[in-house]
Amino acid sequence: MKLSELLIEERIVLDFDAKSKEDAIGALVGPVVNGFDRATVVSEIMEREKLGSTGVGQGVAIPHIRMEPILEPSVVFGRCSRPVDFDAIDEEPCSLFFLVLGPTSADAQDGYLKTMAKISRLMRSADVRQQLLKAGSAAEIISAIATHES
Amino acid sequence: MSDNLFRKILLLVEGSDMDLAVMESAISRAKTNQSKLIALNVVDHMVINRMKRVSEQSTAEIEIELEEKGWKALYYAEELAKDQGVPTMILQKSGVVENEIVNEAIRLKVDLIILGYPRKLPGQAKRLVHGRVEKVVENAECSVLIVR
Repeated sequence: MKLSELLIEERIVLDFDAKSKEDAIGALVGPVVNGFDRATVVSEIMEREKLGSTGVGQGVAIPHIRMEPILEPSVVFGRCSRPVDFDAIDEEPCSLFFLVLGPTSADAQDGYLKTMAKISRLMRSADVRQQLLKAGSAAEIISAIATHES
Repeated sequence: MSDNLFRKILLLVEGSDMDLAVMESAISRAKTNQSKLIALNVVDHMVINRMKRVSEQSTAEIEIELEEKGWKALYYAEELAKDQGVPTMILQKSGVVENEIVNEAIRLKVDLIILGYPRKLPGQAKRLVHGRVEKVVENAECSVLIVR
């Protein structure tokens, strides 16, 4: 499935305020907490972050986790109003975020890994990053991603 | 008790059948030595050129395919390592595999490089892997472990 098809407008958070990595993850988790505890999800993601930051460089972070009780892969895109220190690989603060949540079942692993692979590949493009930084609406975010995916 | 000989271990992840054995070996060593694991994938220019000759895909399409395959393998390695509590960093580079391994190992001050060397490979692939291993062993400034 294409990334632009996985992203829905309700799961795009533009220009949120965050002072820390935990704040940023909290803002991203917000749109996907249906029936499970937001604090638990944030805490589990933070535990994984301690074992290695998901800040992939050039202002982009892709926090991700497979956990119960998530039933299907979910992607949330977020852009914060001011870059946040995310312990990224290049030590640069991050402004663009893709939160990827996946189920723990073995048959869901392939789709989960492919989703993160697509995001990582796409975010290496400076053009895409610029468009995502400048987009004025959720629809423009999806449109920018769809254009570069095709 | 760990003497922490290898604070940083660099693991080459290729998205091949050999990966799992190499990943398990690297993760086990990283856990024992309380090392940080750096999983590296290199989008190989030689592979792109070879694929271009036998495929109808454009160079850009081949690059996209190889990049996504590499990232997928990297995230798989990361998941296995983090499940074992091993601190992990993943990165992708493009270029000549052996050069990127040696350069990244120096840049990131790696103490051990772990590479896979399958027992059975067809002639051309065997020469390629053999040449790569030889160059890494020759040029690396740290220890190199070959997993078969």
